[in-house]
Amino acid sequence: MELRLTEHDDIESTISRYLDDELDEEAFAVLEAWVNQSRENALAFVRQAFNSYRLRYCFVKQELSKFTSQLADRSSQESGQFLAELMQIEARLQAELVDVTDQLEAQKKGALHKTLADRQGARRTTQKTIVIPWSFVYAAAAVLILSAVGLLYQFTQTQPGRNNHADQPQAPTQERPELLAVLYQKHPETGLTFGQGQDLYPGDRARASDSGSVLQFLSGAVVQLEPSSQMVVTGHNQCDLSLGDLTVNVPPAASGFEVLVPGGLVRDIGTEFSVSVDPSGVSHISVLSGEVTLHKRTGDGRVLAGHALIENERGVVDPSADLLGIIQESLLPLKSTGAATATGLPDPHWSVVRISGDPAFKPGRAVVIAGDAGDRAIDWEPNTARSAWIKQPGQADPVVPEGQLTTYRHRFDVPQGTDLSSIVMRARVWVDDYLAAATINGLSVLGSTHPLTKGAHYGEPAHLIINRGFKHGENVLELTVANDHAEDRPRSPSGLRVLFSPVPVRIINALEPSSSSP
Amino acid sequence: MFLAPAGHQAQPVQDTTQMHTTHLKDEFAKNWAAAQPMVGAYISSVVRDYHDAEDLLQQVAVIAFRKREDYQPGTAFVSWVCSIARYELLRWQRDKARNRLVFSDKTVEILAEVQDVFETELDDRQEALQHCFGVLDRKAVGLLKLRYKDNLTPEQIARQTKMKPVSVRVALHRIRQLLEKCITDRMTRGVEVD
Repeated sequence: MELRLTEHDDIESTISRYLDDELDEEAFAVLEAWVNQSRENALAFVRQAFNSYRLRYCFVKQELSKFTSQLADRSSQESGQFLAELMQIEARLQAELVDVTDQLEAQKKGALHKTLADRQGARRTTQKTIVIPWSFVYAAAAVLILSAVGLLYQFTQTQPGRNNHADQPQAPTQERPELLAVLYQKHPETGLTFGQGQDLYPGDRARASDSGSVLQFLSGAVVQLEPSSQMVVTGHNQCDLSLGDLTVNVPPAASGFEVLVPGGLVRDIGTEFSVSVDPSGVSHISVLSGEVTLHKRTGDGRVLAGHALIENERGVVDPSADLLGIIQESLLPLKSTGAATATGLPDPHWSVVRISGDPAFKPGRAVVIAGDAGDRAIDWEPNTARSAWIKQPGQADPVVPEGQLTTYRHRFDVPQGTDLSSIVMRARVWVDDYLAAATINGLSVLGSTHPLTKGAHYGEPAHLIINRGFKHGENVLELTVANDHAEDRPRSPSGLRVLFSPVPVRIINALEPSSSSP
Repeated sequence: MFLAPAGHQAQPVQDTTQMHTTHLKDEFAKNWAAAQPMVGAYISSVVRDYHDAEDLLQQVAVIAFRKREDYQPGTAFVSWVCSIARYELLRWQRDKARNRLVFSDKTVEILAEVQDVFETELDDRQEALQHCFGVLDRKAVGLLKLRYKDNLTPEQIARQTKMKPVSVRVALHRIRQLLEKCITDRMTRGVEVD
């Protein structure tokens, strides 16, 4: 039976029942007609649906911890007031139900009573009969029972010494560990997270799926765990990364979030940072924004004083080498041939150190040339602003005797602390006619089958990749160019052009950990 | 071996194709995170069952992700995704045609039309909802938790709390009324309402 308090209450009640999936067909039709009536109605419906959706979303995603912690410390009196209000509403509803039912009953029986009364009146009975509908009796009994139950409930809730949830916040007990975080797996295609997640308690291990996972700590910190990574939840604002990669976003409320790594600890000071632990136990920390402190952890569990890492800085912890350091990214100072040097001028970064068949040759700066052979056109790839052809000094054109070997030298520095294993030199090399040798610090780096050892690489380059032989300090690269023999020509052009790709390197500056504890 | 073998072409230092793909993926994730409340609300206003709505939301996310290159940057991402959601909702409605308790296509379209207006108040409404939730008392929060986290029906809540089903329904209705009033007041006047 519909209780028509007001039309507004009625539609709001209908929407509420819709949100609880309790509408019948008739009421649903009424609701739909109301929604279609106007944009304002549709908007009002959307607002209620959104509130409901958002509440459900926040509960499921455990995003309400910060709000439940803000709950006012309501007294039992207020809780009792809420219940009392509820009881009053219920009583009012029951009374109205009684009233309406009574009216219906009266309508049904009105005619019969009238007949009876008429008959009884005609008999001049002295007894007055009070007719009480049974529905009234049932309703009155229900109200009385309900009131008694409500009073009893309120009484039990306000008794001292009982477990009154309205008075005291629930403290975690040993039988009931504290929920620390929720683990969500990422959708393999979109990378988005759905579903209710897996609750994590102290000591629980979180393993990322093949598409990665997200951990929402109740402190507010959010950890992105990369595929094949695993970590242990060790505290409400702490985790232990044993292997793999993670990125942490720490809002101000969760400042101080800590990531334990082998031999170290990274403590947030309000930031976003990533940590990677490789199978050998070496950790790399990148600060994406804000600041962290990097601490050494000793074997007996002490945490030493920390060193700050700020935005865009990277740190490293290597327990086997007892190393705690800051990583600086840099580029090797390589210079391509003829870069930013006009034609005809000496190249400041490349020199010619040896010419075969000329023991009296004095080393000197190589000269930048236009690439034109002089007496005939040669298909040398034209110069660009980034690199140009160079030749031996001391003569006007690049033409040299057949079979001559010309050794070009380039010096460059590798800073102390550079991770030498991270250096991979890549270059595009044009040469007329071919490379007879290539060395780094005297070490040969050219195999006999390399394309540059064959001819015809002046129209398009061949690639030269060198990843060993480097040392800290000054390094020497030497490329020896051979001029091919031509039967009909005792002399022909010869030259070299090298274009380096940028070579990123990692420089580790070791930090000096203090022996004192934080 | 420290030298590239014969015929090997060295990889370029930067793979621009891969960078573009990664950038699109990151942009989509960022846009989706902002749009999800709107899209979720739209879907759940039509699809009453929570699990059906979640499945549909995930489906829309996957379709939108696959079509991410069709999205024109600078245009309204929410509108673009809602248009995908509208088609999926209509398709879902076809499947549920035998169920009379689904909105008509006309109603689905009308609900989609008001999303543009609703989007303008979304941020304020979310903030207001968070604030207004924080001033509810524990009993109310407990009821909401049973309804929304544990997904219990009013009947089930009544059994668990030893309340009468009608009491639970009335309580939920009152809580929703209080929340909406608080939200409206906060959005219009910024006044704290207990």
